Amino acid sequence: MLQSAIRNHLLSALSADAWNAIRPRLEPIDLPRNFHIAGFEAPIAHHYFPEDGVASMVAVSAAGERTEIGLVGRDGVTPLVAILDAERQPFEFMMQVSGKGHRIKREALQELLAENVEVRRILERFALSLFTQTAYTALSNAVQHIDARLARWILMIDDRVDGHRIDVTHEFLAVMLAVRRPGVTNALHVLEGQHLIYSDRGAIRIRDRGALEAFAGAAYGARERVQSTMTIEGGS
Amino acid sequence: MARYFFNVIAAADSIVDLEGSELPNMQSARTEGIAQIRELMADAIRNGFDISSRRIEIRDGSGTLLATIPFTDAIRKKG
Repeated sequence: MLQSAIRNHLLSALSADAWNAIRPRLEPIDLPRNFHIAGFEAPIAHHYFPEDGVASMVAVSAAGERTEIGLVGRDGVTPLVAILDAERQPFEFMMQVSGKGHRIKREALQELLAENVEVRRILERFALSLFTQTAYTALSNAVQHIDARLARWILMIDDRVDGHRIDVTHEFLAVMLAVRRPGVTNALHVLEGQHLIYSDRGAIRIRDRGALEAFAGAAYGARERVQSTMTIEGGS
Repeated sequence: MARYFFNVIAAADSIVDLEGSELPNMQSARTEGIAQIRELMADAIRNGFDISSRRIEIRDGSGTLLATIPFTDAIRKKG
């Protein structure tokens, strides 16, 4: 496996030495929609570095209320690692948009982090950027209209997948955006009406990315955008 | 459990529910319908619109009309 072929930003940003340390511990894996990555407060077995596709982090309240609080694709690793060596986290983790990537056993990654400062730093930097993403999702959920929130979500997914087609049901989107299904159906109609997307049953395709960003306005910006490549020196 | 479909009927057009929701019975379907109406109305109000003249039609998988809920049924006046 050549590092130059790797599209995951964290793995491709590693120095040759760090890449050689992690490479033998990585297992390529297909990540179809609904693939179970980790359960709510359940022991984490692997960490995943997507190349393509999007994993969702879903918060679940004691009353069973659910909403997506974070998205991770080729920009990162999921579940989050390198903070307190937490062996379980209070989120559901699953693939939301199909793709593929690599995974590493939790113990193997913990060993590597203990030995290799560079890998730890890169994962910690991603942890900060994911925290920022979730903070701005909280802001978006609090103040932005469902149409803008939907546009934001579509753009964030598009940043992380190849092609421009997103297979997702309205019910799934309703859970992700914490609204009821007709609110989603309504919002999709609005975006379609403005020629920003095509929405067929079970699939969304972006029609005009630039106009969709303009429609999203403040809901999609520097805090949401995934750069096409990650640099070690620059901040996220 | 059965699948219930919630269509929103407005003067100019309607929004057809193509997916439906799996619910245990008609009572649950009505409760779901009321919740949907309140959310749609709240969202419209935030945008400055009053959509209380709309209604939801609950249908089963074969398209049979099971119930109609006017949006006004979902709210009560409170001074």
